[in-house]
Amino acid sequence: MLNDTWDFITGLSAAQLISYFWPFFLFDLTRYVVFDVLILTLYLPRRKRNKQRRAEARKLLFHEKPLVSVIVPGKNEGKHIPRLAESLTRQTYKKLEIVIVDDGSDDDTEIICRKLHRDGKIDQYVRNEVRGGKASAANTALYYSTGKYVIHLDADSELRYDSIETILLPFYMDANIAAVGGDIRVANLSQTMATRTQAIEYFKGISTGRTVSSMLGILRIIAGAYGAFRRDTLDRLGGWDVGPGLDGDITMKIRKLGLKVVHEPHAVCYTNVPTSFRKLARQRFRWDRSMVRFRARKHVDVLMPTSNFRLSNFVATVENLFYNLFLNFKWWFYVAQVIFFYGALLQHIIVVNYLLYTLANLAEFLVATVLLRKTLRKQDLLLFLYLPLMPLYTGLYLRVVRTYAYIMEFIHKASYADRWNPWKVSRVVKKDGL
Amino acid sequence: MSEGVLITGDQNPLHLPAKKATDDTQWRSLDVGAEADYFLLEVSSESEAYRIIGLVRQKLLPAVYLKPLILINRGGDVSKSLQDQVDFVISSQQLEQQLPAKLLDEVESINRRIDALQEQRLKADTNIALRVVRYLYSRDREVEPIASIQNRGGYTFTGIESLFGGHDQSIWQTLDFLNSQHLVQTRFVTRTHQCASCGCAFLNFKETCPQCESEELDADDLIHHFRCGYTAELSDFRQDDRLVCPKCDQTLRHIGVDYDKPSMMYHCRSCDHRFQEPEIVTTCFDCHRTAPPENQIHRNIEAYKLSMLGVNAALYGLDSLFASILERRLQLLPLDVFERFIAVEKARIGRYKVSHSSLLLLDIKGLEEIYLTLGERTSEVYEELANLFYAMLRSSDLISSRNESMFLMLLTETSPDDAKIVEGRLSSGVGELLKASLGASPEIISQIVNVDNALDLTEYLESFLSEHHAE
Repeated sequence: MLNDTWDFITGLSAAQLISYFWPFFLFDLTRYVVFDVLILTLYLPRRKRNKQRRAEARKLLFHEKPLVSVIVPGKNEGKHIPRLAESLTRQTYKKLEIVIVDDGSDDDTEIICRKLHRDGKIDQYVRNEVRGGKASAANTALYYSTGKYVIHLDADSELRYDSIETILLPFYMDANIAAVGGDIRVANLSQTMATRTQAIEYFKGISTGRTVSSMLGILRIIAGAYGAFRRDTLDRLGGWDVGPGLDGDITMKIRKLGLKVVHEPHAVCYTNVPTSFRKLARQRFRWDRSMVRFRARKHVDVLMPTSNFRLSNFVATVENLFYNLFLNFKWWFYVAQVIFFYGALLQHIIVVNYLLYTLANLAEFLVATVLLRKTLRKQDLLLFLYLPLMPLYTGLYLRVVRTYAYIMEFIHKASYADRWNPWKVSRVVKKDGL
Repeated sequence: MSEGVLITGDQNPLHLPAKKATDDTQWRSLDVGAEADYFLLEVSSESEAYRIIGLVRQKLLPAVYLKPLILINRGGDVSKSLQDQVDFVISSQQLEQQLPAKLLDEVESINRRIDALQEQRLKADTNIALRVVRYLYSRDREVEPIASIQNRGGYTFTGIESLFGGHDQSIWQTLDFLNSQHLVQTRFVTRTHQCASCGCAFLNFKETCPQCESEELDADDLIHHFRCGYTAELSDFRQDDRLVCPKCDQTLRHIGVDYDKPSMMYHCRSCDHRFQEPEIVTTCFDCHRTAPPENQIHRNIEAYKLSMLGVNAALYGLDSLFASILERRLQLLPLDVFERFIAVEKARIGRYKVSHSSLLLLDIKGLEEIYLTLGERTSEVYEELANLFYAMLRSSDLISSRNESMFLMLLTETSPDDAKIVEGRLSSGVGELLKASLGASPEIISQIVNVDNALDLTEYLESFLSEHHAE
């Protein structure tokens, strides 16, 4: 059978290659491999050239020593807080104010946090007896924090020792930067197959993908798990709007103010990701629905030629809609095309696609390795062993979840029924079409 | 036909036929009316009533202090507290006619119980615990705590208050003691905080800043506007008399529908600290001591009812209770048995005329009040006391007690001179023991009597009592 496939490959003409594997060559290879390599060949030397500017920014930061508020909103996250507070004491940047907002926890969170507060390990603990959802908890934290910069952090994350210093530097290099996204890595990567595949995906999507978007000025998301904001900007916006997907939403709102958002690949934050494909599906279902809700509905105005029109915002949204939404449905078209027209060659096409995507993943992994170099750990590098799983993970698993999420959101507005937000909130925002 | 004694504190008593009238002065000096069925109280004011009720209830003879009290109401309201302290209230019109049969039945039922005390009813009761036990027994009811700002403890037991001389702490101590001895059963009513230093229940609970202890705090609700997720303090939303969201300019309409209040925040005006959990402190209105609530006394307030053991104590005295410890250790003899031994010893000495025996009487004044100071530790002190007696007496000596503080010892083959040595050691031993426990030496009276034909124990005891326990 392998011989047949080999014969099939060697016998392919250029036209056949394109017609059988057009999604790979036209879209995935060009966008995620060729384009990324091109951009990074520009980025890396520029980053090197910027070394001097970064050193000056660092001097400015440590000269000014602004108070930085680390806000951690969440429900039932008490068990993570002691470790988080401890890890923050080891930061190279010390002038921090840790504000924990407890969004109606019903476990031991209150006991744990009150003790940490008494012991001076955290600066503020605000307990909301009634759950209001992530946005209200983040806004409560924003209200009671006083720092010039606000870092939004998930409770189950841990920062690299120099992470806060690194995430703050862009603010001192460009006064127009209002938000900086941290580089999210998977903390529990060795735990299960699901966490390993996510770890590889994060390297590609967040580390490389967002660095490239940031370079192009079309970064559309500052992760909720780790992002730094200028307080004045957050105050102007009145904080976060109701999610799910409030991190992408606030990033777009900042862009609409004409301010810049960038990604900082060396500001590392390790976070725990879902450990099973089942739990992961639930998380992605939420994320993917919010893409429809916020890009295709709430912020669709950036596509319109209004007075507030900005090309970068237009491109950011179009790129997002095209690559995630359009190409996702294109993929089903391709599956149908192969089955109906090239049914006889099905097994060869599957094998070749598998090989092509595995090679592409290998290339992307190498790109990420070059980009992240010194911040990578040994276990990160060992992930390359799992690269052959990625075509199945991204090509099948994530596509199925995503397609289902898009359809449910387009037809049923399912994101409003997400238990991630309390119903009292979802009911109101759904009614008001927000 | 029942007959009562009229007590008046009034200058112009009602002159009622067929009733012995006695005025306040006579009343003070005499235990009159021990044989009457009830006392009628005719007074001009409530304070007068309290005074006279106090006089009655603090008399020594059970037949007098337990007597049913009927208050004649000459019009106007009688306070709840006063109603609780007397057994019945009747109007003066009712008095003109026959007393109601129902009332007389109840009077009779109280008197039946007093009669059950038999000869004890005419023997002086100095022990306040026993008086309470007997009162509860005669009334056959529960004594309930009544909230009162007149009492430092915040509650009083108006039913038994008049048995005490106005020291409200001793009511608590006595009830605690009775409870510790299982003489009463309790029923939980409520719970209070009392000052740990002075027992006062009037405490000012205050919220203070955990950082600077200031009491000058503002509290504001946190508002969460559902629509835009904006969350801030209420004052930020206030615009004239409306609540308007500063983020999206919408007017907030209904709590729970478009906004809610997830929590509350305190703000210290003195040091600007913000916090959700103020520190609570309490300050005593009386002694002004300030302490956190957990350092004050948390006390269960209970209603008390006599237990079966209590009924037993009412009928046969508390002596048995204290004496039981001595009984176990020293084989304390019942008084009548002791009397028999004295009679035998008298006969033996009279017949052979060769030896002397002595009777040693030791009266430790105020020993019955020891539980007021020591509470539950009383039994330990009695245990030590028993050990002391045990060490001093020989196996041929006999011991008995008249009540819990008066001990009688027959020292056989001991001349009064030798008895003096024993007496000296016992007195100083007891004195030291009690001084160590109570912090003050009690008065100890001891007497030595030669056991001979002239000795009549009963007569001797009566004369001793009237000499040393007269009011």
